Amino acid sequence: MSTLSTPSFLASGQCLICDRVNQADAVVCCACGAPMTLINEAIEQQREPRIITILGESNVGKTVYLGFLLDMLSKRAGGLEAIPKGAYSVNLQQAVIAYMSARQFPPKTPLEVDHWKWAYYQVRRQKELDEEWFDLLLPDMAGEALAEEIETPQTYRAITGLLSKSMGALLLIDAAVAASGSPHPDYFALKLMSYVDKAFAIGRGARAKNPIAVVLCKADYCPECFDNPRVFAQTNLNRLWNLCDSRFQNVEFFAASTVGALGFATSDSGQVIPMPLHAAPRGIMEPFEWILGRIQAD
Amino acid sequence: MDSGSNSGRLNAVASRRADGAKVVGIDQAIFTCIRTPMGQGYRVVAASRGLRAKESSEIVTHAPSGDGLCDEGPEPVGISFFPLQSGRFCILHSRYAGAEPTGRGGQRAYTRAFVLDAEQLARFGNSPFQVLRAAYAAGTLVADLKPPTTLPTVDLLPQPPQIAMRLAEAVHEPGTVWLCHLMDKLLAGDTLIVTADINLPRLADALLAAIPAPLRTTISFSAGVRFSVGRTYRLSVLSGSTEPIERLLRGQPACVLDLTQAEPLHTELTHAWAIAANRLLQTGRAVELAAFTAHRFSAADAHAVEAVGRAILVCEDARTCDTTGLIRTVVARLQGKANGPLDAELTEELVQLATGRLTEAIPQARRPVLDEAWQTLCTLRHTSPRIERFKDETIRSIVLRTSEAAPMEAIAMASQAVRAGLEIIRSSEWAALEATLSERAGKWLAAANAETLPWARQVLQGWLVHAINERNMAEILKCVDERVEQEETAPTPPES
Repeated sequence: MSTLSTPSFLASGQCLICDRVNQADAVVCCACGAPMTLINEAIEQQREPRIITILGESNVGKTVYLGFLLDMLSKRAGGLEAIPKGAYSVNLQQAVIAYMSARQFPPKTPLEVDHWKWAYYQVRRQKELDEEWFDLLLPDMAGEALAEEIETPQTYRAITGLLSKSMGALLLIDAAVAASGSPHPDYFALKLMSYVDKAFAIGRGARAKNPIAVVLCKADYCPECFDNPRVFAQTNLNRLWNLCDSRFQNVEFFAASTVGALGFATSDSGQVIPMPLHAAPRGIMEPFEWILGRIQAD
Repeated sequence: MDSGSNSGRLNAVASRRADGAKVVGIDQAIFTCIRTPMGQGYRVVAASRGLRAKESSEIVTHAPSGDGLCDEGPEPVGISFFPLQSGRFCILHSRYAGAEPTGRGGQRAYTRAFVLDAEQLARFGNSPFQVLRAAYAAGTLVADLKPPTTLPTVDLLPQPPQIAMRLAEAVHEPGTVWLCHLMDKLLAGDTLIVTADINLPRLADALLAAIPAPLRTTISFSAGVRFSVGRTYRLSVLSGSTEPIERLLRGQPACVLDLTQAEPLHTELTHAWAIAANRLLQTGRAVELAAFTAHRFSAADAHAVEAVGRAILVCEDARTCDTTGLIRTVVARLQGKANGPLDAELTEELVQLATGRLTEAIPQARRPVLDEAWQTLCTLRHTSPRIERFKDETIRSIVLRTSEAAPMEAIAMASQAVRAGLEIIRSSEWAALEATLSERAGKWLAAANAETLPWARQVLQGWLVHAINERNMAEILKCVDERVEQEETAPTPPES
C-alpha cells in the first residue's frame, strides 16, 4: 500500500462522526463510540464518505432493510457496483441473511453505540466504468437511541454527528401499524422529522435540501401501499406529510417489504414469536437509488 | 421519557414512617422494554415526579438493554452507580425480566433506577449497595412490567452497613492481595476494568467498603453489566475475557486486570491508604479497617486520604519499634502539621501509645537501653508546644511509674530531666507528682539500707534546687540527714 498524504479535511485520529481527536491507535472514538476504522478508510480512499443515515423507530425493520440493501448491492442489483471496505462492513448483511435464512428475525440492535454495525461501501454505476467511485457510510443504529436523541438532543453524540454530516436519510416507517389506524407512527415520524429539520437546516425559513426517502416498511401487510405510496402517506401519515411539504424540498415516498410470508410460533413461556417464512424483498433498492441520484445530481 | 413530568420537586432528606423509623424518600424510575400507548422499545417507562428530563436521558445511556448483563448465573444482576450532571447520583439495579417482547430472541433487561442527592446518599454511608439493600428490604427491586407512568418516591430505611463482614468476606474472595491492588489503582485515579469469575457485585461492594465513605461518591462503577465504551466508569467489574475490552480501549487510558490470575503482575502498593488497609487486613483486623472507612474518616478528611494512610502505618510501625525509635517517630509526627481531624486524632493516639509504652518500658529497661531512651526523651528540643507537652507528660508518667518500685531513682530521673532542659511549666501537675514522690520517698526511707543513705541525700539535694514544694522535700532530706547521723554515731558492734 502506498503512503498517502492526509487530505486537509481528514486527520488521522479524528473521529469521522464527531470530529473528536483520539489517540492514534484508538479502536473506537472515546466521545461518541463510532469505530475509528471509518476515518482510516476515508484517509485511504482520499475522500470523505457520503453518509446516508437510516432512521426509524424501534422494531420498524431498519436492520433487516439495511441488511437486504447491502446484500443486494453486493450482488450488483440496480446496476450498481458496490465493494465493502473492510470485513466489518459485511457483518450486518451476513447476520441478517443468516437469521432470515433460518426463519428468524435478527436480534434487536443494542443501544450502545460501540455495538452498532457500520457499513462502509465503495459504489459506482456498473455501466459507467469511467465514473468515479464514491463512498457510502450506512450505520445501523438502535431505534431507542434515536428516540432518546429526539427527546433530549446531544444524548447520543454519534447520532448528532451522523445527521449533521448526512447527505441524505432513509426514514423507515411501519406502514402496517399506520394502516391499522394507529397514530403512533405518524407522531414518531413527525418528531423525527422535526429533529432532522434542525440537523439539515440551511438557514432561517429555508427548506432543507438533503434528500429524504420515506420508506413505508412492512408494506406486505397493506399492499395498497405499493400502488401509491404518496397517497398512502398523505392519508395515514398526514402530520408527516404536511411537515415534509412545509420544511423539506427533497422528499419522496416509497413502499418496501422484505418478508414474503410471516408465521407465528409460541415459545415455552407463551410468548408469540413472528417468524419470516421466506424472504421476498420488494422496493428495497428504489429509495436508495433515488437518494443516490439526488446526491450525485448535487 | 414516558412520564414526561418534570416538576423539579426535591425529595425530603428524611421523614418518619408511621412506626417512627426515619426513612429517606428517593426518586425512582424504571427502564425496560414494554409496549405502551406511547411507544415501544427500551426507554424510561415510569418515573417519579422529581426526576428531571436530563437525568432520564442519562439513565437511558447508562442502563443496559437486552442481554446487557454479563453474569452467566441463573439470576444475573447488574449494578451501576454514577454521578448525574444535575449533581445528584444514580444507582441502577438491572436484571432480566422474561424474553425480549418483540420475539427477536434474547432476554429483556429491566432496570430500576434510584436517584438521590449527596445528603440522601450520605444517610446510607455513601454506599450504593446500602441503598439497594434498603430497596430490597422495601420490596422495590421486584420487576413490574405494568407500572403506572408516574411512580411514587420510594421510602428507604438505612440499615447497619456491616462493613467488617464484607471486608472479612473479601479477604477470602478475591483475597487481600487483589483487593488492595484494586484499591491502590482506584485511589491513584486509574480507570479500572476488572474481569473476574466471582460474584461481581459483591466484589465491587467489598472494594467500596475498603474505601473511606466520603470518597465513595467519586468512584463511579458498574458490576455485572456488559462493557460499553459509551458508559465510562471509574470501575467496571465484568466476567469474560479481557481481550475484547483491551482491543476496544486501545488508545484510551484504562487499566484492564484479570482477577482469574492467581495474583497481580505487580504486587507493590503505592497509595498509603491501600498499604494501610493491606496491613490491617493481613493481620486480621477487618473490624478496625471498617471502623476507619465507616465512621472515623469524615468529609473533612477527604482531601488527605493518603496522609491518613501514612498516619495509620506510622501507628502500626510504632507498636513494634524500639523505645528510642518510638520517641523519634512521635516527634516527627508532632513536628508536622495535621492533615485533617482524623490525622490529628491518629497523632494523638500515637502520643498516647508512645507515652504508655515508654512508661512501661523505660522503668524496666536495662542500661544502656534505659540510658539511651531516657536521654533521647530528656534532650528533646521544644520545637513546638505539642512536643513540649508530649515530653512533659511522658517524663511525668515515667517518673511516676518508676517511683512505684524505686522512688529515689524516680527523683533522680526527674532531676536529670530538668537539668537536661525540661521546663516545669505545668506546676500543678508537677506539684501533685512531687507530693507522690515525697510520700513514696518517705516510705522508702523507713526501710532503706544505711549504705544507700548518702546517695539518697545526694539525690534529694539535687532535686531540692528545682522543687516546687521545697518544705516537703526539705523535711525528707532532714530525715535522711538524721538517719545518716544516727548511723555514724551508732556504736560499732564488738568483734567476736
